[in-house]
Amino acid sequence: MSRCKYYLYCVSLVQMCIVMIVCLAAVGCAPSDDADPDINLQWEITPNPPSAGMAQLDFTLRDSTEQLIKGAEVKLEGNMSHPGMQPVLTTAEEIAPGKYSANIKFTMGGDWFILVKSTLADGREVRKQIEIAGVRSEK
Amino acid sequence: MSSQNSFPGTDLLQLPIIGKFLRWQHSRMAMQSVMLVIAVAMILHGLLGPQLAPRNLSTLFTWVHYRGLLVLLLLVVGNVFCMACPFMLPRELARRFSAPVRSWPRWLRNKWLSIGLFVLVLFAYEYFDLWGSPWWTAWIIISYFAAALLVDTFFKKASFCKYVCPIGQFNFISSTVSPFEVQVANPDTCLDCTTKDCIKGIRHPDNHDEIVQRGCELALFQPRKTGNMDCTFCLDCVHACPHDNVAISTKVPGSELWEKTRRSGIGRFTNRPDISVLALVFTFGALLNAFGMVSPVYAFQRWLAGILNTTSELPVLSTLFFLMLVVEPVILLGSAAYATSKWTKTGEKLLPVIMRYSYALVPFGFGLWVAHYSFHFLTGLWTFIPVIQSMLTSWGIPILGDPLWRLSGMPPGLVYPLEIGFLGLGLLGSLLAIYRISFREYKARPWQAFIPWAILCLILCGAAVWLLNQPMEMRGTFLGG
Repeated sequence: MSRCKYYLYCVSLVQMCIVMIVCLAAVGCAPSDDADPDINLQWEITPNPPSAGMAQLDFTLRDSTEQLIKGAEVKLEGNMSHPGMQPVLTTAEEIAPGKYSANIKFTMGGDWFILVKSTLADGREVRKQIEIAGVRSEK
Repeated sequence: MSSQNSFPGTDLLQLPIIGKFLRWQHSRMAMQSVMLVIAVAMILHGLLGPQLAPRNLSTLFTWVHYRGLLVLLLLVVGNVFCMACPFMLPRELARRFSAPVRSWPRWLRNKWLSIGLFVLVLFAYEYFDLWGSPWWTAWIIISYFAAALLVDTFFKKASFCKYVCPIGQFNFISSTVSPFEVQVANPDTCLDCTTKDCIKGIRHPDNHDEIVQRGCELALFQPRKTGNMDCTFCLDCVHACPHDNVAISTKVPGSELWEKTRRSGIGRFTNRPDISVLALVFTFGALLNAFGMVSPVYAFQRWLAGILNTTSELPVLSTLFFLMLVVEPVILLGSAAYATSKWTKTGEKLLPVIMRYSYALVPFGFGLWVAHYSFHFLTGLWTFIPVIQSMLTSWGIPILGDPLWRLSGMPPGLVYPLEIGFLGLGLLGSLLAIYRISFREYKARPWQAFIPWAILCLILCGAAVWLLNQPMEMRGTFLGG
């Protein structure tokens, strides 16, 4: 292969890489976790800040008109931000109309997120995510 | 033609099924292809799948399964991940169209660049919380493919593997304590060899420009090769040797760390400050990487942030790295070398003593890497099953059913004794290496040379046991959420 051809080859290789990177970047911008924007979830956790061990998560579900959503069946799944850890599964109870409470056990300190899956009275499934950063390993 | 019967150890190439597979000309490509498919799935899931680390194949496989399997296979076999490295496939393809004509620059023919990249990877892992980002993890894999392709398209031989790849350096230094090594089966056979195909390769008899079978691209000439350093287990030498005289056979794990022989493609370990520093970064990096996952690191970082009067993680983390990768080794190794020099009454300068003993710390460092990574691997062993189930479901092929999110792995309480066992093995290996080096180099006062380094190893091991007993606290915000 001549020197000129060799450089042409190298340049096209670099160009191919750049094109690939740009395409992947464009495609990769797609993921979004903003599910069910019409449902609003407000929450608080006790103790705050939380520590490893038991914690109580209280939350309300409201629709787009700010009305409390009653009678939902709510399941929670606690995960650590680090992969490979066993999730913590629990169910929330409705303690007052539209207000729910669940006890959740943080098995270790670190960043957690809780996936809240609610089945509304009309059968619609709503998914929300709660970020709980910095669970302390010590009390 | 075969002469392997004269070799006393176990030769993997002689085993019934494994041996036949490894001798197959396309065995490496077959393994690489499987790894490539997995890598592509990881990239796609990382870029397009859920951006939740425990539910994404890219983060789960990279930070839990790949790292765990990597160290466990290094412990029980050898450098099989370099053997099956998928990053080499695109460059193989590119080289079919155009062979590189340039040699790797002479001033870069050492490990300094790869050591810098290794530290950079460790730093980026902590700073960008890579374990929690499928997106960035996918980009790291893509960058690896691109870097390997670019370097090896421009430069001849295996320049990327030998001089650039930080994972490769991790594997090379770890494999010094592996039980298997690619080595000559019968040294006498090599004495009569005139063609040296294991290093030169085999060329087509009619067209001398065409290489039919590559020789070692990492410049390891089999008759003078010692140990696993720089060996990617590519098996090119096995396929090239016309006398069928290359074996993958057993060795005493770690024995190459105290051997003073001149190694083909490397030289003497004691004349290679770069490899010596690699061994130290590997060892102290193991402590640093484990420290980054436990509760006290955040208290320490908060304290550092107060001293530095900052809320930014960059200066705090940089200081932590500087303390653990520079200050700590300088103090500990300097003290041990000073004691050795004084007690043995040799009056040696400290640097040659440190370089000599730095390799002896590798078994301990490897023990800690295995303890750390095997914890994540064993406790999260089955977590890939629900992630694959979920991924297939989201791609419209729910053939494996609903995700079983409850699946995990071994209870941490059961893994803990294993971790301590790995650490103990590492400590024993380091003590043995220190003993052998001391009795070789300081014949008049071997114990006076042994004791300071043994104490150093015990201090490091004590620190590692303390780390393993700390509550884990994996978070990305050092000042708390």
